[in-house]
Formats: sequence, structure tokens, C-alpha cells
Amino acid sequence: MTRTGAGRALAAGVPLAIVTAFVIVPVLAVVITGFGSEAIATLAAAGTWRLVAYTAGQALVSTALSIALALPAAYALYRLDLPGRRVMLAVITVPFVLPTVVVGLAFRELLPFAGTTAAIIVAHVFFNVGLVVRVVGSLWGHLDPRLGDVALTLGLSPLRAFVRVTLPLLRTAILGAGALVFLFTFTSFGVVLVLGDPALPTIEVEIYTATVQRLDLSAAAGLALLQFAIVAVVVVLTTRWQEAAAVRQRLADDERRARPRGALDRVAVAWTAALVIAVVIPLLALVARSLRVGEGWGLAWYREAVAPSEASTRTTAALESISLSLQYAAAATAFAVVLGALACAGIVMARRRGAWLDAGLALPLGVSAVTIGFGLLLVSLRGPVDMRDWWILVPLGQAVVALPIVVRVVLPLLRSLDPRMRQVAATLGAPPLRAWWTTEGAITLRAFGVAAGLAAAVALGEFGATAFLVRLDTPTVPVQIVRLLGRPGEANTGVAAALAVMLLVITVFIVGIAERLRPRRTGGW
Amino acid sequence: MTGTGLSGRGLSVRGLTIVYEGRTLIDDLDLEVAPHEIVALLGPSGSGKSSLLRCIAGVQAPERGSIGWDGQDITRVPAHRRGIGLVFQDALLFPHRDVAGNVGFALPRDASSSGRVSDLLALVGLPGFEGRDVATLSGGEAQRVALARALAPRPRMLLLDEPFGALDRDLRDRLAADVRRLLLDAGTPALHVTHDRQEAELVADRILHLPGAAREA
Amino acid sequence: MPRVVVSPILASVAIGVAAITLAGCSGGSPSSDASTSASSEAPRTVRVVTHDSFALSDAVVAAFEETSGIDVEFIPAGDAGEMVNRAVLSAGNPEADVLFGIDTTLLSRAIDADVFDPYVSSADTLRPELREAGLGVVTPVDDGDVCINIDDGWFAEQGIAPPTSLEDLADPRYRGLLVVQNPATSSPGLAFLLSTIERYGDAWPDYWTRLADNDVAVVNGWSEAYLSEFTAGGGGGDRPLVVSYSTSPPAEIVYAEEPKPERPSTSVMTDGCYRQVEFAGVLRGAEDPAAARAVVDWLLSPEVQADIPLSMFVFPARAGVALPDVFEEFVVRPESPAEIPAAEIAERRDDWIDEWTQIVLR
Repeated sequence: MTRTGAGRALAAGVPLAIVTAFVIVPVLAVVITGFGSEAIATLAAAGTWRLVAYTAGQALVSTALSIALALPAAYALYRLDLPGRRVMLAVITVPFVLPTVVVGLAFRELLPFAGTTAAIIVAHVFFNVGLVVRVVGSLWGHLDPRLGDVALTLGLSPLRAFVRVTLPLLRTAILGAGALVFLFTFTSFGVVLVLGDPALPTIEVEIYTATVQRLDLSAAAGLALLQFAIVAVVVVLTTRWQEAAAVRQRLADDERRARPRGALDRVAVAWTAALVIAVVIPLLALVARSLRVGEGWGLAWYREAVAPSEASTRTTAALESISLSLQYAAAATAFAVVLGALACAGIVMARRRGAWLDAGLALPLGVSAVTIGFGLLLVSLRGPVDMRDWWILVPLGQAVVALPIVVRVVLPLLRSLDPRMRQVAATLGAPPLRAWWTTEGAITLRAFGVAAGLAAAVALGEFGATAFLVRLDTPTVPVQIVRLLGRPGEANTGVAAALAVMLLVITVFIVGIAERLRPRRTGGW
Repeated sequence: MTGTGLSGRGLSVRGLTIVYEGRTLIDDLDLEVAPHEIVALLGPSGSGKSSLLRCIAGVQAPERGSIGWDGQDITRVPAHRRGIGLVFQDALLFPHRDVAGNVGFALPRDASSSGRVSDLLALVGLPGFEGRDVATLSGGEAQRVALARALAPRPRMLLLDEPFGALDRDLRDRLAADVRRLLLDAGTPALHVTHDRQEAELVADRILHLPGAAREA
Repeated sequence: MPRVVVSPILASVAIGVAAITLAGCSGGSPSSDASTSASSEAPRTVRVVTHDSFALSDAVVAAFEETSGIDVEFIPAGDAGEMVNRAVLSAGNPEADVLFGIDTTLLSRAIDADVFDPYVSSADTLRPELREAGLGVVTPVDDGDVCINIDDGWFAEQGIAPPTSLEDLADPRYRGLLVVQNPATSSPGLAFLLSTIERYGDAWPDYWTRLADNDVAVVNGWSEAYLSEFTAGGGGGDRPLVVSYSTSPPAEIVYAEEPKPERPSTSVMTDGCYRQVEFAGVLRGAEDPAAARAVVDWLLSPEVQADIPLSMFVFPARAGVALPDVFEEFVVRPESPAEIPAAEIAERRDDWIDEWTQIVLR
């Protein structure tokens, strides 16, 4: 290997090693605990496979429904020239960044069939339909619309043209989005805990209850390992399928949109409008619940949240937990951005093996938040360092959970940057830093800005890892909400709803700012 | 170019007006193409030639006017039922199919179709290209595949939108002659749009100038 | 990405990682709460982790805080089972200084996990039968009986005689009338299971199979069972038989609206009761062990012990404390409640719970 080759490999290796250390260590702790004989016995039990089947089943249904509902909206929002298009797109994708317990609570208020499998599927679709719309729509918007016209002039009806021309070209995006949705719903925790059937846990929930209720750490570790294995298989398979389905085509540089024309277009527009309304309704139900006091309306729950009336048994005031959540989120964001930068730098530098690393970095997406929190707890309990009272522990867990999102936002952008532009700037006489700044720097920083916003939203709403790591007197808002929901009584639910609304508003605000930074041309996310 | 109403045979366009973003591209145009006739339409870029062809093919709606075939008004007929083929300036081959898949796209999937595909490919001078990946074709080859594809469903009429625009002079002239031969053999009338006078003369029986277009020197 | 771009990123990254790691290593409490060390002159704070059913009069707490200079913070942590599990998971690095509300069924688990700093406060002031109960590690603070509670009003309306024994509960006459708590998550739930094990011995799975066939309802915690499912609990429930405490009937009177009823509307089935003792202990690794011990002592003080009956509806562990009138009149303490030795519970509890789960929940 030449000197630059070795140097590059090293430079790529170091940041990647740091990143993997943070991600791998908790997973390793789980693996080591999980390979005990008790854990294997758990895996062999019939109950375990029922658990896996149920988890996979609800994930598949959620994925299929999300895709089905998203396709017409992707068409309408990325191919048609609609007034208020950006607003509708924003509304549909907002659920994705919302805290899971907030959404769970909203649906508990709204659905008459809360506490069933159908309820969690509905909530899952709510979360993920925007993701599918975005991922598939981005590709669809860049497809050459004239290909469809060609099919028409060859005698195919619009529907057949869609099936035989558009769909094959979209397949890779549909698969990619579907894989993501499957992974998210497979490892879904907050929603299932708040909204699901208590007699039908998913793997995630079972890991949690095994740890927290039965102190059965080996069983929990065994399940976590099993889940990790399943996720790895799914990632590998879907990556292969995506590659097979990818069609090398010349994509347009920008999105060409047309005015709605014909019955199919009108149906797509109506469908999208219905979807937008459907997304807003649960959030309105949540707000309504937070304002309904007894038979009337009022701000009593908000007041109670801000200044709890009980004196002797102290529940943490909302302001305190909100401030704490924000502090944690800030630290987690900083950490996630730093780690993400390292990871992206490493991937881009390891150019040839980039695709492998890409898939490898998809894995943390599938390492569930619960496993990360559980793993960090195990490291503290059984490892050399007792981190349990470290302030940094919770943000650390949140950062590892947010890391894949940072990478997925920044990486496509970094890859699309053309180094020749910077070289051109240099030949025009600009000093290196200025050359970098004017050509790539501003865009890179804006990409990190967007990633930071999303990471902050993830950290704020994070529940799976936090539930394992947070201490009693320093709860984050999502943890507090779930604690309140665990106690019966209108007051507890009302205060929980008030907290949820406050968290919702803060999250939307942060993401709104971040999205404004988004450079116009980014792939995927 | 005497107007005889919609009752004549072949294509007749009456009073066609095309507006795009406030600009009137085509204003009150009358046009006829007789069966078996190849007509060239000359005009510089931006004069609305593409839009005109798209309206005739049915993938775009005109502001005003009517389009007729063999005396029937087809203005309201959707594109996939008009039977009018269109060859675009970029070949626009389907990237997810190979050459044979593209050429045979409009044909039913049976044994006879593969024979026809081979015949067409031979006709456009690309014998044996069935299994080729469309991304590996040169500009000229891609255009010829596009032509074969458009001819496969035996359209009533073929519209060609500057199909040789991206090619060099020699290739253009050769292809122009080939296209004329193909169309005459198939008996398919055509409307061939170009900005190149020489190409127009090689291809067409009759040359029209788009109204308002400057004559080429 | 060529070096010019990478270097600034890598540099700031390295600095960032170092800074954050250093900040984290220093550990320490978050900025919002002020828990100061014992050596400073500011008021000392002792955090007491309890279960959700904990209550003490504000006046009693305030009085202690004034005289002792110790700020007492009570932190609810779910039901007793959750609370103990958290303590086990944080053993040695506890989330509080004192744990109050661990009972006999959970004690062995906590002791095995080395959760406590052994400390027994003033054993000679305790009722004689409770003096050894803490196994030398924790201090008994109160005790109670877990019994089936009966909504007399409901049974009178239906014209059915209420059940009087455990056997009756499995009788088809009483089908669909009982709600119990999940022993995996609930302390009274576990106590009830243990009393059936003590009664039926190895045949206890049969008994529970019969209960399950008799449509017994299972919920996670006492509050849900009593307040939501019990017909007399005020939550619109439809089960007139619930696992609760022998002191729940007088509680009905105390919490009723004016004018208060003369007699409670519920009564207790004295067969199948289980005696539970509640303890308080100093957590190993507490910040200020001396102050923590002072708080445990305070929990045994006459003031607190006299307050306990009407705050938490259990009996004071301290000898010679007068009980309120409602207790004297309406509480029947079962004469021979079931009790299983702590060591046996420690050994077999997980298996019992697993088997119970298989029979009743799956």
C-alpha cells in the first residue's frame, strides 16, 4: 500500500474505532451476559418464538400499511404542483420526530380500542407514513416524467404505465423505506408500552419487563441478542434486495412538478389531504385531554405540572424535568454530532469499502434503544466502571440512539459534494480555508445543523434507553409521563397530557428551526 | 396546405393554441398530414415544437383547438388510446429493461413478439442488440432503439421531436435517410420536427415552417 | 474527503470527545437538585425512596425537619416490587439514602443483593413479635394484613352470602367476582399468593387453576385493583371481592364525604390473610449515613407511629401506640394469618411466580 493509502486507511480507521467503541460496548455487555446457559434456555422456550412471531407480525403489517398509505401522498406531494405543499409535507413528517410516549398517550385518548394490537399498528403508521412519503417521494420527484408519457404513447393506460414503468423505478426506494419502517416498528418500545395489549408484549417490552420487574437479566440479555440477530439478518437481506432492485438511471437535477390533471391526480390529492388531517387529529385529542378538567375546561393540569401541590411526597416539577430534558438533549446532541462527524469522515475516507460501512452503520438503527440502555446498565453493574450516577450516562445513551440519524442525514450530503469545485476555487486563487468554505463548508455545516436538530428531537423524546438509565430524582419528561400514566386517576392522566403537550411544542419548535437549515438538495432523509 | 376541415383522412389540426406560463407558444395553428405522408416542421428552439407534438400525441392539453384523425375528433381521447407514437429528443429508453424489453414494451408477451422485436431491430440497423443494457448504448444506437420501440405497436402516425438533435452531422444524415425509408416501408405517416433544414429535406415529402419562425438562410 | 476538510473536523471532534468525557467522569449530581454533603453547613437532605402508597402528615414531617435540621425528600418509585428492583439494580450506588416500604416478601431479594447498610433502630421499643423481623438489617416500621375485602353492600343487594374462606373463592357461586394483583409486580398480590401456598401446600397450582376457571381478574397494582376494579372503590368497578388490607374498611369511612357513614360498607374475610411487615433501611452507599440513620430513627418515633394508622392504614410497629377509634371499632386483626419464612420465600419465590404466570396469565 502506498503511503497515502496506508495513511488514509488509518485516518479512516481511527474515527470509526471510536464510534464503534461507543456503540459496541453496550452491545458487547449484552452479548456476554446473553450467552449464559440460562439465556439459551430462554431462547428455546416456546413462549420466545411466539414473542418473535408477534413482534415480526405487527411490524410487517405496520410496514405494509405505511407503504400503502404513503404512495399516493408521495405522488401528490412530489409530482404535483400543489399550493401549501411544503406545509403538508411538514405536517406529515412531523410525527416521525415526536416522542413515542407523547404519541402513545395521544392515541390512548383518541382510540376506543386502545390496548390492542390494532392500536399500536395505527400509531406505527402515524409515525412512519411521513418517512415513506419522503424517501419514496424524493426519488419519484426526480424521475423523468416523460418516461410515463412514453408509456402512454405506446398505448399503456395510466395505471399500467404506473405499474410497468414507475413502480420498477421506485422499487429500491420503496424497499429502503420499508426496511427502515420495519426496523423501527420491530424495535418499537414507547408505543407498545403505553398503547399495546399488556398480555401481548413485543421483544423490546419483554426485555424491559424482564429486567425491571423480574430482575431476570439473563433472559433479558438473551432476548436482546436474539433481536439483534434478527435485525442484522433483515438489514443484510434488505440491503441485498435494494441493490438488486436499484436501476441505474439518469435522475433529473430538480423536481419537476405538474398541475393536477385527471381523476387519478384528484384522488391522490384528496388522499393526501385526508392523511394530513388524520395526522393532526391525535395531536388535537392530546391537547384537548390536557385542557379538560372534570366536566369543564381549564389550565389546572398545566398549573399542577408546573407547581405540584403535594408537599410531602415530592414529584418532580414539570419545569425541572423539562429543564433536565433539555440539558440532557443538548449534551446528547453535541455528542451525537461529534460521533456522527467522525463516522462520516471515516466512511468517506474509506471510499472503496464505503458501502459495507454504510450497511454496518445501519445496524445501530436496529440495535434498539432498550438494548443500548440495558447494555450501558450492564456495563455499570458488571463492568470495571460504575457509571450509574454519572450525569453523562443518560445523554450518552441518547446520543448512541441518535447517532444513526445524524449519519444518515449528513452522509449523503457529504458524498454528493464535488471536490473538484473546491479545486476550481483554489485555482481561482482562493486560500484553502476560504475555498472550502465557499464551496463545501457552508453546506456541510448546514447539514450538521439539520442533523443536530433531529438528534436533539430524538434525545428529547427518547424513552427506551433513558428508562434504564435515568435516576429517580432526575426524570426526563417522557419517563415522568409514563410514571404518571402508571397511576390511575384523572389528575395523573391530565398532568401527563399537559407535560406531553409541552414536550410536543418544544420538539416541533426545535425541528422546525433545524429544517429551515436544510440545504435544498439532499438525498433520502 | 388548404384547410379542408376535419373530414379529410390522416391528421388534421385546427386552430390549435398552446400557452405555457403566460406565453403563447402556438397561436391558432392549422396543420394537416395526409396518410403515407412525411411532413417536416421547421422552427428554432423554443418555438413550441415539442409542445405541439405533445398535444397531438395527447400527453399535453392545448389551450384551444381541435385535433382530428380520419375525420374523427380525437381532442378528448386520452393519449394511450390515440395510437399516435412519439419519439423524443432524448431517447428516453426505460432503464429497467434491456433493449429487447424496450422495443417489445408495447407488445403482448408471447412468442410472436420476440420475432417482431428482432425484425424491428434489424430494420433500424441494430441486429443482435436484444440483450444489451440500454445504459451502454451510444446516442445514435439509443435513438434507433427508441424508433424501433415507437414503431412496434404499429401506430397510425409517428411524431418525431428532433430525434437527431444530439448527434453529429454524418450520423444525422444517415439516420435521416434510414428513418425515411422505414416510414415509407411501414406506410406510417409522420410529423418530423427539427431545426435543421438539411435533415428536413432528407426526411420529408413536405416542409412546413412554424408561424413566426425565421427562415434559415 | 481530502485532508484539508478533515483536519478541522477531527481536531474539534477530539476536543469535544475529551471535554465531554472529562465532564462525565467527574460524575456528580445534576445542577437542578441541591443535595449537599454532610460537611457543609447548609441543611442536610435525606432522600427516602418509597412506594406509591406512602403517606405521612405534612405537619409531622415539617416538625422533624425543623428540629433536626434535616430536609426529608420522599421519592415515590412505583409499587413496592418496582422500588425494590430499582434498589437492587442500583445497589452500592443508590438513588436515595433510605428505602422505606420493603416488606417481608421482598426482603430476602434485597438482602441477597446487598442493598442495605445494616441498621436496626431501637429494637426494644418495638412490639415483641416484630423485634427479629428485620433480620438485623432493616427496621420494622409497620405491619398489616393482606386480606380479601368484601363489598357488603353489593352482596346484600344481590342477596348472596359473601364468601368466608379461600375455598369459597373457587366456588362457581362466586364466579367472576374476584380481582387480584399480579404477584410479579404487586406486594399485596404476592402476599395473597403466598397465603394460598401456605394453605394448599403443593396443591396450590390446582387451586389457582380453579380460580382462573372461575374468571378471576388480574391487574398490576393495588391502586388499579382497589380504586378502579373494586365495586366499592369509587372507580366504577364491577368486582366486589378484592385483595387489599384488613384496614381498608375503616379507610372507607375516613375517606368518605360528609356525613360520614356509621359503619364501613366493606368488610374483611379473615380466612386466608397474610401478615406483612414493612421495613425501612439505610441504603449502602448513601451520601450521609448518619443523617439517614436519624431519619430511620424518626420513622419509629411516637409522632410518626401515631400518624401511621390514618395515613397509610397499617399498624404501628412501635409498642404501646394508641390506635384511632375507627381502627378499634372496625378493624379485625386475623388471629393466625399466614406467614412463610423469609428464607423459603427467597428460594422459591421466582419459581412460584413463574408457575403462577403460566397458570393464570397464559
